[in-house]
Order: sequence, then structure tokens, then C-alpha cells
Amino acid sequence: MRPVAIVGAGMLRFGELFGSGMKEMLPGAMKAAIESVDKGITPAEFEAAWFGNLQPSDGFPAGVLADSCGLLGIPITRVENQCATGNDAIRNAALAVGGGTVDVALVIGADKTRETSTLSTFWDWMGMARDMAWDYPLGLIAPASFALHVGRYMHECHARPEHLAVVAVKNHHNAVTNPKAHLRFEVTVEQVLAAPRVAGPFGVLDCAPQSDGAAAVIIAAGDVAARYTDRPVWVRGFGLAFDRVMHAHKRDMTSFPSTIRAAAQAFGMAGIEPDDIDVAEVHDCFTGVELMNYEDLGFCGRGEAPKLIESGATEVGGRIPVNPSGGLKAKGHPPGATGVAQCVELFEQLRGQAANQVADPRWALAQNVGGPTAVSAITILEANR
Amino acid sequence: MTVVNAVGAYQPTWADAGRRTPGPDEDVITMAVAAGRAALAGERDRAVTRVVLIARDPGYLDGIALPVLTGALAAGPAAAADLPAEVRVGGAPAAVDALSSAAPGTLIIGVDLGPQAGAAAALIADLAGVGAQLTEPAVAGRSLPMRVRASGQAQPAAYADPRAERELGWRPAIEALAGVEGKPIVVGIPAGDAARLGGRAPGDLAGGKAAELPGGAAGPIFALAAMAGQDQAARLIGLDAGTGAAVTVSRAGQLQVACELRPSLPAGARPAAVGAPIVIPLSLPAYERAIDAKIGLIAQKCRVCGTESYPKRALCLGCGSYDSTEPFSLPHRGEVYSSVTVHVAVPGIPTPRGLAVVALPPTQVRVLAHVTDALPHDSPIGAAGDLVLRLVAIREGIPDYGYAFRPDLPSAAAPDTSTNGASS
Repeated sequence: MRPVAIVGAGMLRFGELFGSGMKEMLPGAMKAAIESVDKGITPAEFEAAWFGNLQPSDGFPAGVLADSCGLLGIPITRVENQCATGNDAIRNAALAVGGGTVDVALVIGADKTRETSTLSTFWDWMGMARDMAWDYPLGLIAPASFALHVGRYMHECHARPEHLAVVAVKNHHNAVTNPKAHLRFEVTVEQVLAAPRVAGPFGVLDCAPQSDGAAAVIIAAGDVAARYTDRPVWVRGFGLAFDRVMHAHKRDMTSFPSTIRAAAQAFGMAGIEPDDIDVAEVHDCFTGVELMNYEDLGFCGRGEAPKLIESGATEVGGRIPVNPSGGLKAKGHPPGATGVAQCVELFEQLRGQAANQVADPRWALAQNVGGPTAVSAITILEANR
Repeated sequence: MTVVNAVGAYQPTWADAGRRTPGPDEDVITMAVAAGRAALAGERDRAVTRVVLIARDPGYLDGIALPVLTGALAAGPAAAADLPAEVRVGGAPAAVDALSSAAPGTLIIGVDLGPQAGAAAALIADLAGVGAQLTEPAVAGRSLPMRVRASGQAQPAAYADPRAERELGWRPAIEALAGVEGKPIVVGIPAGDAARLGGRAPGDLAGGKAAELPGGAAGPIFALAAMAGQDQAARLIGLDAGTGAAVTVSRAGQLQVACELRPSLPAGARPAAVGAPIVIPLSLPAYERAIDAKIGLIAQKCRVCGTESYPKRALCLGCGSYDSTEPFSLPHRGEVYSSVTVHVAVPGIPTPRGLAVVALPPTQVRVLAHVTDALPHDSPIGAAGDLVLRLVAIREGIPDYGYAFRPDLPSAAAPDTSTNGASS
């Protein structure tokens, strides 16, 4: 595979974008990415596009992207891989560019979780992730699905509710200074613990918000990247892997094996170790999930995540800053856009332009785990040196 | 004469001012399964050849889920749900009539949804078999429409005059049916009225006071269970307004009785639906593909390498064999591997709702199930309990049944599950 770079990245502010449909969000995200390209680019230069989207909210996803962004003459492929969709869309584009068939590709991720009523949203989204006969009628909503893991994790690894709350405190703190974040306010451990209960160990403040949003990155072959920027960010590794779909079939719920498998692919491809990562955006749809991700990604040993977060190592300025953007928890979580937005943040981090800039990072990692906790996607990026 | 070999009884866990009341995931079918399984739980040969379900309100008129009932009662994957089953609409007299006239091999299940909810099942044995003997059947009936419920009507039209019912309905029926063996046991009317009319109420049952037992279709079978401690013959009368049926019960000491009567939990703590009703989608082909394995708790084992799967997998996880499995029955006892209480309202699902991943040792199988008949936090990791058939959801108006996990009660309130009788 030839070298692949991200030459532009941008996003809309996540939030309740009631005023924008897909047809408004997609051109907005594309424009933000185009405007970030140092030497300029036009849509006519895109040779292919990948669209990460879970729920088609205005009909035929690829067609809506082609139509609204004026990209009728290039192949556009919709990618749907649950919460791993965004990073999988980037992986698909990177494969096409790396394989030499495409020089410049657009990746957009977008979803509108606030487009359906609160009554139907739960069932609409569960319908995309659950076995129709066995698990769907149980009403296994996302927080419960993850709480079954986190509850077992806390049981075996002696994590306390306070450890979960610190994740929320950290990520909300980061979001306050991120103008693209959905929830830009501080929370305290006490507030998190006292918030109305949602499911298991999670209260409202342990949960990512339901966000609308769109994010885009422009991927170019190393050969042509210099046309667009002198500071490309290199796509060095990626991984996509799975776990059993039904919760009853997951043998050890104290980890997400799909992440461990995807991480092995991505680290192997990049030729680095977890210790090399300088900044990471990980999937904190619920606070405790971030703790489990630390272990699955190798940022600490098994059962050591509580200690890691207690030490402050994952704060901006720590040894391994995690979710400087605010993460899903506070930046927001429109699933199709989430992984792309992680890479928007890491693009800025590796170019020294981030709102919450980590000191001189070289290696960055983005990770999602999603659906019925059955799929993970990882992207590893490197700064231009 | 008929011989009743075994009796099983069940009442819901929830109680409201002394009245047992069904949980949000219970209906006639699930309660019938609970009673039927209790009746069939013993070690004797329990060859069931027909199921008769009796209820004043069977709940469903068309498409009633009898195959769900028979499938859940089946002894294993070999005993498919091909058991004939029928529904009879009626109360205590219909149950007494069924008890005194059914063919050997019939499992008679009476279910009451209220005012005291409960279900009881009786297995009819061969005439030469062990059990209580039911002789001298008689019926008495006159037109006395005290309560009339037209189909489609939620509440019956009632003629509100208890004295008229007692004097015009119950008194003549008891006089016609009482027989000579001392005071008859009268089911279907309040204990005070039974005494005033020369009868007596059924005795207390282990774990259940007589006053809290059902008085409708389940009542006569509960009364049989209460008689199990005694060998003295007694007349058993079931009454309902102007109609009654009676039978003489002897050798009740030979009955095998299994009662599933747990200490009650306050009905106010039941999970309750929140918000407007919602239509939960259903795929009938997907339902049909799953239902036998779901209702029968039937897993699969690879013939080549023994790897277990539930539900069935086309491709064996152990050896990669394709479509090489054979069925086996899963245990109904399990232990919580992980659990969660969902507090946020999920439309269409009563809340707060526990969900648990339940291991079923000694098998490798785990299931994901609702937690039922318990308060939040009663099903922590490691809790043991039973899988019980429940109504998991109503989907497009169609009931979708499956197993829920019922944790054993905390040690402070041990379950009153008792088995007595069996004097053979």
C-alpha cells in the first residue's frame, strides 16, 4: 500500500441541529474540510467518496450525499458498521487511495439522532443492532448493553462509581474549550454520581448525548499530498474486527474483544506499540467504557484503568491524553460522524492546531466500539516529521 | 371416577392489599405454564396426553397461544408441542366438572387473573393409579346471570345484590350438591358465606392462606392441594352465581402437591409501562424460526465436537461443521453472570426493568433475559434463580413469549416452595 495522508479535516458543531437536515449538514461538513486544506481544494478533485451513516434520515444515503454536495459523477459508497462506521469509512477510503485506484477521496460521516421522537428513537436504533427474534423485544437499549459489560468489569476489577464519574469530569472539562462540542459545561464527581439513573452504573451524566452532526476528512495519496499541504497527517494503521453479536455469547464481558482484535491489526500495520501513542480519541459513549478501552488498547494492564485515570495520565498534559476533544461523552455522538470527528480532532492535534492541544504529539489513535458491543474500528495517525 | 395424581399451584409474586396480582409480564398462558410445570415436576411418570385450560377470561379469543403452553410444558426436545389442548371458558364449576370427567393423561389447568390471581394444575391418572379419588360427580345449574360479560366488553355487567346471589344461587346449589360427608368444602364464594350456608372454605395451603387463594377456575385445584394432608373423604363444591359442580374427594393424602407460592412483593413496586403505547415491530417468520427453541429452552449440541449453541448456529463454533447439531434441553436453573437495572423509560417495556446475562451450568450456554418478580438490585452478579416463561413484549399486538430470570429471594425471605403428599 502506498502512503496515505489526511490533507484536510473539518466538522460541524455537534448538537441538536433541528434546523439542519442531511442535505444541509453534508455540504456544511464538506465545506469545513475543504476550508482546512492549506493550499486549497475543490470538490471536482474528489475521485470517490465514502459516507459513514447509520440511520438514513432523509432517504437513500449515498444519493443524498451525491445530490447535496454536487458529487454526481464519482462513486460514493455508504458505510454502515454501527458505531465503528466513521473509522471504517476512513479505512475504506485509505484502502482505495493506498491501493492506487484513487488519488483523492472524501470521507463524510453524519447522523441525525434527534430526527425521530423520543418514543421511537430507542426502538429505531435497537432495530439496527439486535437479533429481531431474541434480543430486540427485550428492550436492550444501548446504555443497558454497555452496562452489562461495565457492571461485570467493576465487579471483577474493583472499579468504583467514582472512577466512572472522573471520566465524565475530565471529558466535560475538555469540551468546555472545544467550540465543536455538544455539551460545553463542567461537571463534578458529585453531580455525576447524583444525576438521575439511566441503567446500571450509569446516570445521565455518564452517558453521551444524542447528537446530530457531520464531519469530513479529505484523504490523498502521499504522492499528491504536497499539492494540498506541507503538513499532512499520515494514516499509518487501521483495524476493524468483531465480537459475538448476542450478549449471551460474549464469554468475558470485562473487555471488548473486538477492540483487542482491531488494535492488533492497527498496531501491527503501523509498526508501533500502545506506549508510542501520544494522544487518543476513544469511544466513551458511557463513562465506564473509556476505562475498559484503556485496557483493551494496551494503555495500561488489565484491571489498571481505575489507577490510570486516578493518576491523571489521561488528562491533557498527562502521559497519554485521552479524548482532548471532550470525547463522545461531551463533544457528542452522532454515530456515523463520531469516528470521522475523532480523526478531525487528531488531525488538528498532530498539526498543533487543536483547541486543547497536547504537547508535540507524533502518534495518535482513534477507536470506536459499537453496535451490540460487537464491532471496533481503529485508525492510527502520525504527524508529518 | 377419576384419579388425580398430582397437583401444582402457582400465585404471582405481586400483592396489592392482600390480593395476589399478576406481574406486567404475566398472563393466562404464563401462569398456566407455571402451574403445569409444578404439577409435572415430580418423579412419577407424567405422561400427559391432553391439556385443558380453564379460565373465565382466557385473554385471547383467536390465535390463543396454546402451542406456547404445550411447548413450555413439553418434557424435552423429543416431546414436541403436538399435545392436543383446549380452552374452556368458566370458573370453579367448570374446573370441578373437568376434574371429575377428564380422561387419564389430561392435565387440567385453571387460571384466575383476579381478584386473587393464581393458577393450579391437576394431572388425571389411570383409574388404578395413585392419587386422590374423585367420585359422585354432580352439577346444579339455574339461570342466574349475576355477572354478564359480552365479548369485547372489559367489565361485566353486574346485578349488584349479594343477598339475591346467595339465596337464589348459592344456597340451592349447595343444598343440591352437598352430599352426606359432613360439611362440604365450597370454592368460589367468600368463606363467611360458605359457613353461613353450611359449608366451609378450603383449608390453608403451605405458603398460602385460604383467604388469599383464587376462587375461580383455579380454586377447586387449590382446594385439592389444601386437602392433600388428609385422607378423610370430603365433598368439594365449585360455585359461580347460579351454577355449581361437586365431587367427593377421597384418599387426598395420596396426592403429590407442588406449590410455588413465594412471599409477596408490593404490587406498587411492579415495573410499569411509562408513556404512550408504542408499536414494537414483529417479523412472524423470525418469530417462527425462534419460537420452538425459545419456548422449549432447547439448545443444540454439535454431533461432531459437542460444542453447544443457543440459539442454533448453522456453523459450529468448535469445529466448523455445517448443520451438524442435535437438540438438548437446557436447565431452568441459572446464575447471573452480569445484570443491569434499566431505570430510564423504554416505551413498551415496563420499567424499572432488570436485564441479566444468565449462565446455565453445567451447560456452556448463557441467555439474556428480563429479570422478573424481583425488586431492582435483587439480581446481582452471582444470584441464582429460575428461568420462567413470561410475556416478553407485545409486538404489533401479538404476544411474544420467552424466558425471564426470577432470582431466588434473599435469604431473609426464603421461598415457600413446598412439596408434600406422595404417600405411595
